[in-house]
Amino acid sequence: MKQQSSPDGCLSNLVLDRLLTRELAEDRRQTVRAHLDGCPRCSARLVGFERERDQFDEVAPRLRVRAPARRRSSGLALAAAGSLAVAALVLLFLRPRAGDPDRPGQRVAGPTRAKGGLRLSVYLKQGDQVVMGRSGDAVHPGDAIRFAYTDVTDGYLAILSRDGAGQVSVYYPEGERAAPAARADQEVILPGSIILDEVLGPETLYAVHCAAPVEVVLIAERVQRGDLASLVGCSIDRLILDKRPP
Amino acid sequence: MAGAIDDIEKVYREHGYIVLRRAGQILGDAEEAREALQDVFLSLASRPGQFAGDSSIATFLYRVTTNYCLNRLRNRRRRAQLIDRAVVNGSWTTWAPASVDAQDALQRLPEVLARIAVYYFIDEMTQDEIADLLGCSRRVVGKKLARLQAEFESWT
Repeated sequence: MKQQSSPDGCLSNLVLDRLLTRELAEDRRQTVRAHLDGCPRCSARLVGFERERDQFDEVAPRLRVRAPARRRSSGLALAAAGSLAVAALVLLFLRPRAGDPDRPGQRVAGPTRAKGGLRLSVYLKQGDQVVMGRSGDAVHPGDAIRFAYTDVTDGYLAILSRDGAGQVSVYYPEGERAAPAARADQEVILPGSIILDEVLGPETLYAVHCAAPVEVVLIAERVQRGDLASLVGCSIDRLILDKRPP
Repeated sequence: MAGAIDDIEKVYREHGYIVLRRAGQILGDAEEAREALQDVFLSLASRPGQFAGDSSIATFLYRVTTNYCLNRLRNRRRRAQLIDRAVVNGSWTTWAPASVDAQDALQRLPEVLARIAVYYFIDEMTQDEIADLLGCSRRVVGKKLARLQAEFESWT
């Protein structure tokens, strides 16, 4: 095996990028420039990178991100914000009661969720804006949702929902069994998205992570019965969105 | 730059092309690369503290893009239940023509080796640069590269 994948002395992509983003110290920049002066290959690569940078606005989608809202942990705090009064009512309505692990609105699903374990996140695309969703957030038919998870060991993952009419849907995976999910200390955003239908009311999203492969239909049955806690060897996280008319 | 990122949109405008290029190189698909670009920055927007300021922004984006894309390749592989063995024939410095085989290989390699393969073959990093990025010694990187070579040879 070669000791280096590039020709002797040639610069790595990272060095070229750091040169373009002005992150190199002066002495390093000088040595890099000296190399570029005598190396047509690296000079051409740098020109290519510059072109990518200059054309980025034309080829890349515009990023539309709103800073995530602060986690709303207190009904009193919400009530104090007059402009958020309606949202506060929704959140209070959805707030779980102690000792009621399957009640809608509870993010942590009782004894099956290990401390520091599986966490479900959602990204909502509303119009041309993408925001991170929180339990209790208002959504509308036609909004798109992407799912993400974090803090799991190797295992199997499924994501389901129960809508305001009690209908259970499997959002992930497409197959019959929960999909393998690699260990994730950092957030993993799942491919694809779902579009919310016209059924209004609380939409409860469940992420189920199991140590062994599990039939999705079995998970769906437990969701339908409100009996997810009986799934052995599985961690569960959930959040609830409040689907309202547009 | 130190500490968490305050202005994600600014970082996106000034550094996004780095993520887009790397995602395209690793994933081998322009549309998936655009999705990766959005996902990486969405994740950064939701948790700006993940950039701890202990490296440059470009170095940080190299790391998170690599991790994201390798996860995505693994998910792709699992979904497709790929069982065919890849044929990896030596150097990947001409990455594009060999992209299919290379991506298949990245899906099959253990995580650490896959990362090193990306840094070494795609980014043309030296062993010292890889060691800096991974926070280990150059000797460790050398051993991993030897393992990588052995892995390739076992596939042919």
